[in-house]
Amino acid sequence: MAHAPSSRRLWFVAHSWLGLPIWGFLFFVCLTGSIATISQEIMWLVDPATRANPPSADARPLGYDEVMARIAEQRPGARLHEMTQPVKPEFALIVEAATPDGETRTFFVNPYDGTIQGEQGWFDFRAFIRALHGWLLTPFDGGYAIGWYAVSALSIPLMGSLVTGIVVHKKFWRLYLRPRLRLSKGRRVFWGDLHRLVAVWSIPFIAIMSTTALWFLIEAILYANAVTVAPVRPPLVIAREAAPNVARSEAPPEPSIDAAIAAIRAKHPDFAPGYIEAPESAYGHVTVYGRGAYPLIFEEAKVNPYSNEVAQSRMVSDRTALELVTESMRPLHVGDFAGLWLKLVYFLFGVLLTGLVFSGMMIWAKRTAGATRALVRDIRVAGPFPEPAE
Amino acid sequence: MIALPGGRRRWRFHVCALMLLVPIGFAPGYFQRLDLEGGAVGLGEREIGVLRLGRWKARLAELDLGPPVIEGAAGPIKTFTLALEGAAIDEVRAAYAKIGEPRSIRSAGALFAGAPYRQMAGVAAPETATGDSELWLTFEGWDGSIEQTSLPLADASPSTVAWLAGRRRR
Amino acid sequence: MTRAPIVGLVAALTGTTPALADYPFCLCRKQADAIVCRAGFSDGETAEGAALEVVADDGTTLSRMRFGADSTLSFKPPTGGYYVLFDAGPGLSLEIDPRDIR
Repeated sequence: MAHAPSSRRLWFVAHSWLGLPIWGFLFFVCLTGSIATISQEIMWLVDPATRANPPSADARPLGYDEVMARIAEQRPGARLHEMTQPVKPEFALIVEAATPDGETRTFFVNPYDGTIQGEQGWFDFRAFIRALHGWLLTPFDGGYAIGWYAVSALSIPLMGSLVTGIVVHKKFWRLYLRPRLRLSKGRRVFWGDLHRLVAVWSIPFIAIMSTTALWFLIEAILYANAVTVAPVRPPLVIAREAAPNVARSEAPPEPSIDAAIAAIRAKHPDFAPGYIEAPESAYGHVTVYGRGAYPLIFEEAKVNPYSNEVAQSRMVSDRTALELVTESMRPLHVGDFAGLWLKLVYFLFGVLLTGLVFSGMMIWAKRTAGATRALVRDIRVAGPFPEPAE
Repeated sequence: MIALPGGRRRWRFHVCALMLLVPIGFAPGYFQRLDLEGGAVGLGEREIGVLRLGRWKARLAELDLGPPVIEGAAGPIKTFTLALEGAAIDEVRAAYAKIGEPRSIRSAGALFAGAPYRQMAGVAAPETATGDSELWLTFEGWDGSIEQTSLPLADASPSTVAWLAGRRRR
Repeated sequence: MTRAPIVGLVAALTGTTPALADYPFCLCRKQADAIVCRAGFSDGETAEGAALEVVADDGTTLSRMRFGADSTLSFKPPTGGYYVLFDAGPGLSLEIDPRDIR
């Protein structure tokens, strides 16, 4: 390989071309991620059924059991799978229920009068954009999807670009004190200044994104090796003897969501339900996820639907320091824990990062294309086209 | 060989198009999986038939036609779907499935989870199972009564039988 | 399919159903004149609190033990016919045939 003077250059150019999909890939992931941040809000704007308009100024939200009763009136036989209570009061309840035809349907339900305002069609924009961003739509079969690994592995080049960028511009912090954007020194200077300015202001955001994404990679690897951050108790089921016997002429017992939440609130007064899962079987619990005093962490409680006692709970105080850190990763990544303003901040920085990646891609592309042209020209000048390197 | 860029605009477009190909390739599978899990395509990819357990009636299906999925140390797992019909919807408290005859109600096997109209259970497929092995269904009523039935695994899931046989040959 | 808490949460927040679920396992092997069983779930949960029973062929329970934090138990096999029952509740149980214990 040492015979041709240009072989090292040839390899360098080939290597650069190999790097090509990374930039396109990172760009794609940043773009879809930015959209995913505000996917719920986009749906709110596009589909009026997802909004929660009070029928009158003094209207109060119904209890969950009453909501379910109203749904049963509109869709006889519907059985609750899960219900999402959006953090923001402007959003309708999202109720996933099984209907007697065997299908699982998602209803947007007005929390004030229980009206089914709309139904999720076959295309769920929010789930789709998240799946597109998070795992490129690849399947989960007996483990994390292959796309999950591919996307989260981007945290490594992203973190690398952050670190190398800081090393190259050691005095970056000066830009916070004296922002410099020269308008009169030509286009190259202007774009260079703008690029550095945006990059410097994005440092905390890029650090958050790359760290949390790196955790997603580690999380998947740990799962694949059946390693948990802390010992996880076995899945909780109700003992066969504890389920009531009911005579054939009587209706089977129906769980009460309101009673379950009341039982949790009796123990944890500041618990705010955000997501409710109906028992999956006669031996399952009503599971309620919600946020307490520390907004980053989802707390969880399982309530026995027959006795309405809290059978198991995982509150912030039950977690180890390590679990607090690892479980904060997801909300930090998606920014859904403080309201609309934070989502918009995340979206803005997401778009800026997408732009940074795009400009980085352009700079790189020009350079590599130039190097390739120069290489080919030099080879032509030197003589006949050599055999391509292996 | 080094592909020369034809023109700046064109190859930029190609780069982005290249990246979009990956999810586009997976999109049909993604939507198919959602339809399968949501029940839009019916009980499952392959309906096995109607089961009668005492006075109860139900339909059984394979969720998908594929072989079992290996779930870590729990080994190969095959997912079946079940639809309780008529009186069984309100009378059956729990339905279980197991390959091989359960020795007691406590080891009736995987518990079907979900609404009575369509519930799923991931059944462990023992390495030694063959087409002659039996898939046992156990229904437990809210009144405490128990009914059972069984069918050959070759009827319940030909793909599982073929897959297990292939593993044993290796 | 009972989903693990974390996985359930992922599914909830991502709006899809990753096909990740808890499946029990109980692996038993002979060690000198005892049988050692290690149990757990496919999502990495421990078997703490789950029961392990040695049941005679006629259905009588010969011994009943509970898994501790290490998810491991050992017992002396009885002389007559028997099987091992792992029981973590309805749907989370396994029968282990002595023929499969090596």
